[in-house]
Amino acid sequence: MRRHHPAVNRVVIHVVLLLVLVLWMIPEVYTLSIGLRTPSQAFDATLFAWPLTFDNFITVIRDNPLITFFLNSLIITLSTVALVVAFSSLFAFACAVLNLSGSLTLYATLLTTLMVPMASLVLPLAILLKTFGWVNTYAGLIFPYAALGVPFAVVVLKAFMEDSPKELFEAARVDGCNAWQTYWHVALPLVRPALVFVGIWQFITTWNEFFLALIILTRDEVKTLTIVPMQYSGLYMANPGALFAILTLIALPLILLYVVVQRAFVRGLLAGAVKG
Amino acid sequence: MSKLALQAVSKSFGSLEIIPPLDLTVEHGEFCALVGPSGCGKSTLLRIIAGLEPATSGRVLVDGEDVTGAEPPERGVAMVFQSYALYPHMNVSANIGFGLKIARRAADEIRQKVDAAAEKLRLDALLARMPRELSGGQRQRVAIGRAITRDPKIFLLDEPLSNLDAALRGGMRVEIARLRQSLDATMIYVTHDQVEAMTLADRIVVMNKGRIEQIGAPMDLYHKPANRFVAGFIGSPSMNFFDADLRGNAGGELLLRLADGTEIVANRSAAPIAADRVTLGIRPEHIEFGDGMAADNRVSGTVQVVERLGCDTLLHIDLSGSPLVMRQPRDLADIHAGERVTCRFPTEACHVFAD
Repeated sequence: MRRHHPAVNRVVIHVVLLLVLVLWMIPEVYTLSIGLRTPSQAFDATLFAWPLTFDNFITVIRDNPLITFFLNSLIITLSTVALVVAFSSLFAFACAVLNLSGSLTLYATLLTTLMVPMASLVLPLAILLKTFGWVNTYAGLIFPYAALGVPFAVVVLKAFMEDSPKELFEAARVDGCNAWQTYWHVALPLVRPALVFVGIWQFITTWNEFFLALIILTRDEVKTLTIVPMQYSGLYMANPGALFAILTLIALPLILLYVVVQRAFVRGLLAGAVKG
Repeated sequence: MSKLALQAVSKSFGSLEIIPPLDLTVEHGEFCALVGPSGCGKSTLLRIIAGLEPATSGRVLVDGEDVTGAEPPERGVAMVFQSYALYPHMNVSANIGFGLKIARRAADEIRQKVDAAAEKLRLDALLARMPRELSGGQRQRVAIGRAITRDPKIFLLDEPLSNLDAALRGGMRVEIARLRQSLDATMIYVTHDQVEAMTLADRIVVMNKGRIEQIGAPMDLYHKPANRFVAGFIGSPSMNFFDADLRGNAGGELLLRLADGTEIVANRSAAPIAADRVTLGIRPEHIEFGDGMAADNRVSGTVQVVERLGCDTLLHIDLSGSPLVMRQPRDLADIHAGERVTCRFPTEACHVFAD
C-alpha cells in the first residue's frame, strides 16, 4: 500500500514550483540587473554585477518626459479596453442571446481577422490613418487597437454567454426587460469573470504594443512608453543600462496591475475551463 | 384574475409539427394543469402562452385581447421556471423586486411589495441572502415571490417542483395550493407528475404528441378517461390493460374474452365500441380480492412480487402471461410470491377502449 505524507508532498510541490518560478523569473531579474549596472559591467555574463547603480534610471527619467509617455499609454490603453469590452460584449450578446439573424456570419467573418498578422496590416493601416488625419493622435492607435482586440474578446465572451442558463435571459424578458436591459442587468453581471479577463488581457496587449505605435506616433507629446526604449538601441549606438532601466519602468505598472487583479484574472480563466 | 384563450394555436420547427392546431380556454381564477409525458409539447405550449416562443399559427387571447405578437410583460403573465432562474448576482430582495425595478416603480412601493411577498412566502429572514445560499425549496419560493410581486393576470408555472426531492415536493405542493387560495389567481401549471396535477388543479389538460387527449376535472379524468392514453396516464400505479375480444354487446354491458379464455363483463366505455379487438382496463385499486367476492368476472394468476407499503399492499400478478397490479388496503400478510390467487374485476370498474 502506498503511504501518503501530506507534509512531504507539500514541500516537494513547493520546491518544484519554486524552481519553475526561478527559471521563469531569470529574464525579468536580468532586465532589472542590467538596469542597475554601470556601462562597463553591462555585458558581464553574471546575473548580478556589483556595485549597483541607479544612474541608468536617473538618466532615463531625466532625459524623457516619462509622466507624459505614461499618461499617453494609460489614456490609449484604458480607452482601448473600454471600447473592446463594450463592443465585444454587445456583439457576443447579439450572437449568443438574441440570436440575431446574420450574426453568425458576422462572427465567422470577425474570426478570420484573428488569422491576419499585424505586420501585414501595418502599411494599409498607416495609409488609412494618414488619410483620416489620425497620425500622431490618440485615435490613430485607439481605434486600430480596439478593432484588433474585439475578435478575441468576442470569442471569449460569446462562449461565456452561451454557457449561461438561457432561463435567466427568458426570466428577464418575462420581468419586462428589453434587450438593452437584459444585457445590462443580467448578461453583463453573469459574465463578469470573463469581462475582467478580457479587460486585463486587452490592457496587457495594448500597453505592450510597440509596432503600430512606432509607426503612427512620431511626436513626443503623444508617444507611448513602449517607444522610449528605441532611443537607447540603435545601429551605431547602444546604452544597454538605460535600455533595460526603461524596460523595467515600463513593465512595473503591468506587474502592479497583475498583483492587484490576479485573483479575478485566474478566476476568469478557470471559469471558462470548467463550465458546461 | 383573467381568462386565457388559445385559438387554433400550433407550433412547428421547420417541417416538424410539435403542436397541431389546438384550442384551449382557461377561465378566470382557474388552476389548470397541463400534463403529459416528456416531449408532449406542454412546456412549448406554456412558452407560447408566455410569449417566449412564437406560435406558428393561431391566436392567444388574454381577457379577449389578442396578445399573439406581444412581449411577455404586455400579456400580464408571470412565469416560474423549472430551474427557478434566479439571478445569481442579486440577493433575494433584488430578485423578487427586479420586475418592479424594471417597470420603474417607486422604491417605497418596491420595498412594500417585496416585504409583502416575503411575508407570504416566509422569506422575511432570507431577503439579504444570495441565491447560492438558499436550499432548493427556498429558491423555489423566491421564484414564486418574483412572480407574485408583479400582480400578473396569469401565473405560468413550468414544472416548478421537479427539481426538488420527494419530501420537499410534498411540502411545496401544499404551499402552492395554499398560495393559490390566497392569491385567487388564474394559474397554468405544467407538470409530468400526475399526482401534482390531480391534487392541485381544478382542471387537467392531458397532452400527448402535441395533441390534447382530454380536458376535465381530476376525478372526471380518473373515473371517465376518454381513451387508453389518459387512462394509463392518470392514476398511480397506472391502470392495468389487457387485450380482449368483444363477444357481445347488450344493454350497455360488454362481454369480453381475454387471451386465456376468461370472460369478463364490462360496462364502462367512453365511446361506442365498434371494433372486435378491444382493450380492457382496470385500476389496481378497483380489483376485488378476498372473501365475499361475487362469482362472476373472476381471474386467477400467480403472485410474483408483494410490495407492502404500510397502508396498502401491491400484488404483482402474472395473469397467464399478462402482468396485473392489484392494490389492497390491507397487509395481506399471508400472501407470498409464488402463490396462486383469484381476484375479481367488478363490472362497473372495467373500462373498455377501442383504441
